[in-house]
Amino acid sequence: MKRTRTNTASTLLSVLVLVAVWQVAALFGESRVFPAPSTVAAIVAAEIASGDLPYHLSATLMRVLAAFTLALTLGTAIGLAMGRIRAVDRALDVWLVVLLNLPALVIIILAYVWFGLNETAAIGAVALNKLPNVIVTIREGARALDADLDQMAKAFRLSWRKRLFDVVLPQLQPYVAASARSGLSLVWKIVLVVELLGRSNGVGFQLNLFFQLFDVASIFAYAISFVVVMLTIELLVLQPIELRANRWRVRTT
Amino acid sequence: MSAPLELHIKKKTYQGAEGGEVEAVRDLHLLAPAGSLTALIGPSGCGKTTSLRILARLDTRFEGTIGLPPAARIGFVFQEPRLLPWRTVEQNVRLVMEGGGADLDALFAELGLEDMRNRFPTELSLGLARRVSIARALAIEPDVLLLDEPFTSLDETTAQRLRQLVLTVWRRYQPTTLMVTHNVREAIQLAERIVLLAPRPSHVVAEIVLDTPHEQRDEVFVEATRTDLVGRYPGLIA
Repeated sequence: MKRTRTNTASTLLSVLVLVAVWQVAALFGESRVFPAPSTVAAIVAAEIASGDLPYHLSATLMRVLAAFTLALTLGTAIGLAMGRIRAVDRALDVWLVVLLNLPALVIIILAYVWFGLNETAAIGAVALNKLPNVIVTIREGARALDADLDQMAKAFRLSWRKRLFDVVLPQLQPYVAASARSGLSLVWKIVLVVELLGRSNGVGFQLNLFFQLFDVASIFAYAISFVVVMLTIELLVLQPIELRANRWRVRTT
Repeated sequence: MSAPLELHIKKKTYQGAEGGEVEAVRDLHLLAPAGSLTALIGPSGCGKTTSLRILARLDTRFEGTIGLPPAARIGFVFQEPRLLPWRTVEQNVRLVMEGGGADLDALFAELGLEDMRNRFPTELSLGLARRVSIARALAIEPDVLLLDEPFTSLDETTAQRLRQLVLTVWRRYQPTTLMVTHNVREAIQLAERIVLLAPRPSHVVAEIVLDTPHEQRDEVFVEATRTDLVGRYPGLIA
């Protein structure tokens, strides 16, 4: 508990230093291209009051969550299959390499061209961008599954449900956590591109608008707001889940 | 509840490290009456563990037959406890049960695990973890109980206590029990029958019936029986 408090304090301090550095830098820059934190804060307040910021933020957040969940579930299933069954691995490996190396922009454009400028295409394109990374990570985890526990499950004739949720998934937990961590940030960056190219709301759409108006302060306001949202999710959702999942590990420090 | 057990392995081969085939077992015939306690003894690598694995249907690549009702419940106590580290002691035991809601108080009390129910396996000593592993095997009310060297790497006091515990629960639940060990004294102390296996390719050399009641098997008895067996089967029993 005490350690958590010191951690929070040091995080806060480091944020304060960042804001201070920004403020000082803004004094020397041109305010139109490099706005001061106070200017940005004023815009954030105004945008919240008008309801625009919450509206676009939640639109983006919904897309992030949908694409993230889709990629993580599908990626875990496929990665597990590839890690456990050699035939599946051989069959899908080339696809995986292609998908890994296909630029996000190409997938997004193709999705819009083929499926139209709609929500399904947008979320699908983002999920497809994240999918191969999840598969690669989970596949490594599936390859490292404990054969002894597998035999125990077999000897006691555990149902597939128990095997999956009690034996296999807990072993994959660190790998799932790793891809969730890197995934959330990757997904939100791609969601912005999707919104910029083919959606009429969301942070990406707004950024495009402000770019055309050359409104750098608003770009700052939206970008920072979303980073804060993501940070909150990281601190209030992801970290507590991870802590709970790791309860059984013996602390050596 | 307990089922008679029969195993006939005509042939079991392994893929050797250099690519050739290694014949591990040839014509091994095992028979254990319902509710009996049999010890399998033999030099290491003689197919003791293989026999258990085949009985539990963990290994199906062999020629031969398993004489066991397909619905027979098999409780397996592995050499290492093989508990799920991310589940508590109680969750580990309940995992293998079908209903899940059963009362485990009596079982935990019998094995001295009442205070350990909410601990995680990483917090337990090897001796305690083995007890949990035995509790898990008993929780399914097994018709057949398979024990793969359950007392190795324990200090003698703990091992002795665990042996008594196994004897107690065997008497109470009477599963047909097959115990693999390389410790002759342990087998003499616990088993009703000792099955002696020859080295690779493994087969049964002798079956020794021990009908002395367990209470009368003191150190003198164990030592005398061992000396007798060493004389009769030199090279196989140490």
